[in-house]
Amino acid sequence: MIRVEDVFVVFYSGSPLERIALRGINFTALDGEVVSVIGNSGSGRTTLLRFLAGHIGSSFGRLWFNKTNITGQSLPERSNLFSSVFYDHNTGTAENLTVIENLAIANLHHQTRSVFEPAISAEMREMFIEQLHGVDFMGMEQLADVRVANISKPHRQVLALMIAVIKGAQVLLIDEHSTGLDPESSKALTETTEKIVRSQKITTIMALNDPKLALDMADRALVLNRGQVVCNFSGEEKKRIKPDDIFAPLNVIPPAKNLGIPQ
Amino acid sequence: MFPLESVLATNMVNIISLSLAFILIGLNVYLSSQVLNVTDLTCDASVALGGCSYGVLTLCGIHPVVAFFVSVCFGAAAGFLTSSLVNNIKIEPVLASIIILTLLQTIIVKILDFGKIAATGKDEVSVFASFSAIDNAIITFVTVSVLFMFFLKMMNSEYGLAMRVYGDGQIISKSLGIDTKGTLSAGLEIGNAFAAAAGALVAQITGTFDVAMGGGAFVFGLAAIIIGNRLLLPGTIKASVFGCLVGAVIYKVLTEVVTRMLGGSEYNSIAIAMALIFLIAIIQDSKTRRIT
Repeated sequence: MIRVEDVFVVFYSGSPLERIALRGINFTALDGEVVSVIGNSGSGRTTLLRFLAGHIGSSFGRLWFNKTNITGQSLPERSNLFSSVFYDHNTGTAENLTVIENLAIANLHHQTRSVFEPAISAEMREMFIEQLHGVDFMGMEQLADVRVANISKPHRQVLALMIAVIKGAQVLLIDEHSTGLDPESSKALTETTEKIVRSQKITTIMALNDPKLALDMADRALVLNRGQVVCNFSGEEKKRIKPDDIFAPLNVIPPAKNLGIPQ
Repeated sequence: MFPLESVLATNMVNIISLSLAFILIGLNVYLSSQVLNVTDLTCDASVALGGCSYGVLTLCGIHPVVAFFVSVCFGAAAGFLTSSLVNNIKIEPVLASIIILTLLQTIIVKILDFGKIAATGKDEVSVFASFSAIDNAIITFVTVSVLFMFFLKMMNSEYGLAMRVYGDGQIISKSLGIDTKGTLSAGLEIGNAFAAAAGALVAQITGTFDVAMGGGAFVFGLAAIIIGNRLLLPGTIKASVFGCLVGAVIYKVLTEVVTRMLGGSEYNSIAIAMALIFLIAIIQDSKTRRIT
């Protein structure tokens, strides 16, 4: 269970450019729950996900994982529990390594690394190739020995998902990971994501670029507006609501003051 | 001008030993610039530090093997200084290495002064003279082979993988649970230890050492990597490490042969020629992007 308590994130605090990105976010995600964060650009979705991943700190508030307060934990400490798949595919995969080497380094997560032990043994190699077959995504298994910089974005995002699984992450954070893809591979990526998330029962907090799809996939829908949670639907309630109910009130352009533009 | 035949006949063994020693500089630059993706100019000073401390220690009558290990440790310490500036004070690696480079110049001069005091009143015949050129070649070959095998093994090890991830960025390294500070520190220490080992071997082969002996080591390393990668077009990490080796040997043998043929008096025109060759290699390289 992950609980976000009264979280504020302020950028450029104290300067004329001060911008309050999150103003008191509160929500709870149960174990294995898929939470969709829905909102317009500038509503704080990415800030929320980057805060959870540990890329940025909060100005106020607490973050709980089960019964531990992990607010102060830095990115490396948090990487035990959290894994992120963001639109910038460089934050999820290491591009100078081959696909298999990426999986191997995820497998070694938080272990002491030997200077003499070869990173990939024959049996590990076999295991990883089997796993690449297992995800069954657009010929992923043929890319085993290709450098990650040379494979396409959907493959890199699936690789990032596999890294999360191999690392044994408890919480998966997804931020518009299919941005910039053609409709077909975007669809395939979303399907594979859903398959992995559901089969591994990972708690997932995600923002997708297609809000209707996000609403369909989620167990819980969190609607963000100007850095605040305006609606939090789950269970039966979530099934009843229609996308238009959520989006109509959001389609109001906020005044320039709230965007932090100096006047 | 000296004819090619006479240059080769008298100096070939030394030229080969020197080019073997310079492989280590190529590996150092490969580790910092290609694997860790930081520009570490400390190596210029590490070569001189290694060479001068080895020379002074042997002049003081310390066993060459012990002197070699001490000078390698000095090199590692130089790498540690640079990495701790980067890690703790968050200085850009280039700037940090230039600061340490300048600092080390002074330390090297102090070491040389100490050497002069130690050498006065003693028999001028140092330990260098007691080895023949062939002996030096064998010593260099064995040392470089051992270090090269270690490097190759390390690059394919679990730790080597972590170092390569470091080159891909802080966020991905941290989210894969890699200790970024430790990795950078270890990488620069190993790299500069290699550079110091190269300096010690050069001092042993040529029998001379001074504060300027490491000048241009970084540029040499870059040239070696680029030439090697142009020739081998490597697809794997192992092949690109071998590319480094080939590039270093070719570049060093060429420079040495041509410099000796011209007899040193026209050294400046040689420097320009080598810079041009390096530039052509870079232009060629940018036309076809390297694979690894």
